[in-house]
Amino acid sequence: MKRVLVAALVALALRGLVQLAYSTYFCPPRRTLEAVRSGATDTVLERGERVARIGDAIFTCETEHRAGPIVLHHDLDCFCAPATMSAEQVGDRVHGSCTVDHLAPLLADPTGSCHFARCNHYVTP
Amino acid sequence: MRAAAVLAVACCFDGPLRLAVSLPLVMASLAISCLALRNGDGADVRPFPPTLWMLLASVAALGIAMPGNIGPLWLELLRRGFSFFGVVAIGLVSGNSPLWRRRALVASVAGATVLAFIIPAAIPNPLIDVVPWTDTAVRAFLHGVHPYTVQAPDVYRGGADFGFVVRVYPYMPATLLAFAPFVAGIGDFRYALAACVPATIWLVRRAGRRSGADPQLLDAATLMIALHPTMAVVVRSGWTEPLLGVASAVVAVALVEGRSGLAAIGTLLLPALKQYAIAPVILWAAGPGRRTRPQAWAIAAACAALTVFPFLLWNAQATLDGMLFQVRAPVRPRLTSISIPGLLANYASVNLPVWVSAAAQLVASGALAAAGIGATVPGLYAGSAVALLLTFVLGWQGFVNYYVWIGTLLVLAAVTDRPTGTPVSAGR
Repeated sequence: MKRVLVAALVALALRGLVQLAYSTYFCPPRRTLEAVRSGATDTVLERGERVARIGDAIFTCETEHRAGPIVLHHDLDCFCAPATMSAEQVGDRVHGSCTVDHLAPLLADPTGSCHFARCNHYVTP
Repeated sequence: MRAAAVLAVACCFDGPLRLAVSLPLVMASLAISCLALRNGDGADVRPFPPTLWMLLASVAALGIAMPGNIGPLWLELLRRGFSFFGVVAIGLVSGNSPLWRRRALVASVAGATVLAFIIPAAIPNPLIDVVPWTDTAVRAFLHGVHPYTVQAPDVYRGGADFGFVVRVYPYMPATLLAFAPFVAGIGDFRYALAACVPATIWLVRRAGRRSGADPQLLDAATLMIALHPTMAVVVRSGWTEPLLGVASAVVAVALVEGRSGLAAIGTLLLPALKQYAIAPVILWAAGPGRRTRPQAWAIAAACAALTVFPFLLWNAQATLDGMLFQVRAPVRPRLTSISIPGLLANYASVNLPVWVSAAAQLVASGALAAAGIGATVPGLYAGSAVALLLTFVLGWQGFVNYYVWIGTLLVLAAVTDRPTGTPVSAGR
């Protein structure tokens, strides 16, 4: 029993470490924020399987990446939300600051920061 | 069994970690499976490794920390609590008390069954298109409407771009036949998948017992299936692979009991249930199938054909559109796929052609069949697992549900690996 419990604890600890290492060093929204801030690119997102739903606008939002109460870093990502919501309302929902990227996103539209109507998160009013 | 456990660990990651962690683990499982094929003989000199309990405990523990929520808070607490219980159960089963060993095993199987049956009721409308598509197709069938001519509502409300738009039920007709009684009787096809959990466990144990497997190995196999961290996700999502798990286990039981006719029917029903399940058929045909009477072959082929031909006669074009949808529709690899094309799709501008994975399965299973791997029951299952792992590692779509079924194949290979080390009476 003791060995089994130790193995389970080690597995959980390793899982946590993997997640922490990923969040700290490899988090794509963090790297995006750094790239945008350095002026290397304007693009926040151009690939992904999530796209704007019917009636959605797309917002770029800077949010805090937290591990419980601890703020690890800031992220920059694309959020889909109903076009009836303002950037401030979306920002309140995601606990960050948002700006409108596309009010009527199209799958073929390569402009803006969130290309081809891509977003990584959905916001509901 | 180690390969199955590593594969189960690979199923415990989400998001970008699918490529960073899950994909290497799937490849590690493939490597372990290949090594097991090479060292296939001599199971009698291999004692049960106590480290397997620790590996199983790690798998169960990762169930506590599964990413994402699949349902309401109480269900999350229940499924994660069950994984925690699983760690304790593994500790008890690995101990020296026969009484507690049996109690923990029974509680694990009962708990897994109850959890599986709770899920359809607790999550009636999960956000995955498989459920409305299957439900709509089965209900149409029950109302006398051709199931490949109906349209399911878009659960994503236009918010998904997989590189294709599902316009027809994309699975095999046999799944509709399997699900129809459950929809007609209980109202949700996913109860069929829930029923597959105890059925698979019972069949795996029966196959193992008849093969003379080490009782500890049988218990480990039982816990591997009962405590699989993604079992709840598979049932919730309506993925059909648990049907393949049961069919594969039926074949294993039939082979070790010398019921070649039943083994033939079960084997040929595999591709009738899911389009990609070809490798077990090739390996069986080159092994046990060669010793099977032509009449049994004919009956098995007729059983498989009977699941398809009535639908073809009803509406050939619509049925073919559905059965071949996944072959024709995708225009690019899925970005969330746990596979090399999935990795390349995220980080490169070039990729493998879609036909590579299918060709890899045919070549690998053909080579393994030619090498005589399918001549024994464990060889048949381990060889099938290797060919299918290769298929999905090189595939445009390589998802958790596929790897869960391959895990069941690996478990079946382990429990039928006879302690005597002699070739099994496959197809006797």
